Amino acid sequence: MQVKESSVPVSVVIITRDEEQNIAACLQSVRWAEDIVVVDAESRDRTVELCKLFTPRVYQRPWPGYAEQKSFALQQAKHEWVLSLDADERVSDELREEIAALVLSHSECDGYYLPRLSAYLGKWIRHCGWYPGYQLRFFRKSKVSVAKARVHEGFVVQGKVGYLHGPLLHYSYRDLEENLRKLNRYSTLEAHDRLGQTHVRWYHFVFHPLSEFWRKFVVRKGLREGMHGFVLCAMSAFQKMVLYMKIWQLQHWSRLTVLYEKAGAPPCQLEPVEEDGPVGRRHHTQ
Amino acid sequence: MGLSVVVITRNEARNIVDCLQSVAWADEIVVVDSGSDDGTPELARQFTDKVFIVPWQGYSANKNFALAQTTREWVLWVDADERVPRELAEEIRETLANGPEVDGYEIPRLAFFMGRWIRHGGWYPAPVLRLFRRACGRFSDDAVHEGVVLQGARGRLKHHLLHYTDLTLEHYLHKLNVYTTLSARTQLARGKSAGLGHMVGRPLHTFVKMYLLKAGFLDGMQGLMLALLSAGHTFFKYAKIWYGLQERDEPGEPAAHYRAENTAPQRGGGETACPRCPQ
Repeated sequence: MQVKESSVPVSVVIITRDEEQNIAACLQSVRWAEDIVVVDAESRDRTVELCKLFTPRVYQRPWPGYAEQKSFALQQAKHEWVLSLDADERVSDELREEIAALVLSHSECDGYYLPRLSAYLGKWIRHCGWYPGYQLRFFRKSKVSVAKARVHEGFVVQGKVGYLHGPLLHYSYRDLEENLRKLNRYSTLEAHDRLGQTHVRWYHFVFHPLSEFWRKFVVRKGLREGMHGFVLCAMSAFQKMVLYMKIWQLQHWSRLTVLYEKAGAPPCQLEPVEEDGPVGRRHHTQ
Repeated sequence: MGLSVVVITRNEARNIVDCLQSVAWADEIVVVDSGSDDGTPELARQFTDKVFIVPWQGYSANKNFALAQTTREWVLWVDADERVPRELAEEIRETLANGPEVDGYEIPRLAFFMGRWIRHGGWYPAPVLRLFRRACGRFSDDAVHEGVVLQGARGRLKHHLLHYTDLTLEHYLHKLNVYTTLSARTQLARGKSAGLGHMVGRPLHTFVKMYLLKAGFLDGMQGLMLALLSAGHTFFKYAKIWYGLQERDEPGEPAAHYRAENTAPQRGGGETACPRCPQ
């Protein structure tokens, strides 16, 4: 089935901030939708300008947190069926056709999980536990709400939920430097979430990373992805190690600051943990 | 005779006062700042008139600029996150007063990590050449391990510099990221490549050497953390070399941007030679 421009009665909602590298390709992949809503959190780059080439419905407002921003975007949707996208995602042709067929027919479900295919350093990753990595992203506006939980924020659909086959394409990790930067950020956020869960001991630094590597590389068949799989799994293991070290750091922070002062070290504070934008804390550790 | 101290900085407001206080006894202090927006140059001016604000042109270029501004016969280079304790200051003054027989001195360095002075794992004494006759030294071009190239004989001092390296893991990882990219770029420019063997073997080697052979386990929890993180550092050094040689257009989009133009660190630009790579 061929789908024409602006022909499918679906609202696509996207929240952005500083996404000029991604947003054009993202919007290009949903030109078939009748309604596109972009809610931008005061980008300092060309994001808004680029969005206006694709849709008149671009809203700008300060970043109030993930759940609030997504809710606001949802409220602006004109159609009953809504597809929620992130700027670093694209809709594949298969997914587009599936969605178009679905809204034109009578659907028995109120929401659908979409498989998400992610690229890591330029290679599509089908193992390592990354695929299908279902995301609940397509639903009836009247049946969905946004959960506000701090860790697993996301959509909640009241009613029957199904699965689609066409993948969302996710361009998440484009180079190792960006990968490490995100790792540094996410592990700090996660450490704060898990502060009270375990009393960290030295062996956590060794065995958690090893088991993470084993699980992703062997059990989840990361080795089939070749070198990319190896680097990805090693990266996950490293992330686990850093996570536990950061939990340790938090658990001992008051003692550490005393030691710092005694040793004549300069004043020092931990980074704040506020979420810092639409691509705040979604990551692949499952 | 006489001694100039050189410091290059970027956003070192929390360090610069203590640092300069510890070398206030020197005959001259030269501070070269690039792009600070936290008032570092103003703080430095309390100690010296020779504060220069220049654009960032890489570690060695900025340091050689600083060197060119000095006027005394001897130069002591310190980083903003280092301090010269009294014992070392006395040793330096005495050495210079007694008419030194060599042209440069290595100084041991004691690093502070996560609340502990690190005395093992190959981190101590790990002497660095920091005191040299102005006429005999200049800074080399190596992107990460920029250091003093000395023409002449070298000696070694007994007392150590203090180095407040990373007070948070976040900062450690930020530096790890910057340094491994710089290092990979240097290696790629030299035509080096890396594969699975490097990515498995070298990190293991780093860990075994630091933690077992050099007795890093004697530094307790911090020793283990450093050995593991250093293994990670080694891994990323080689992983970035490997990645630099990949074809990067498989999923239909020009995916990667190994930004060659962006060699300046984004924060804390006073960071200098990578303390983690065994030299």
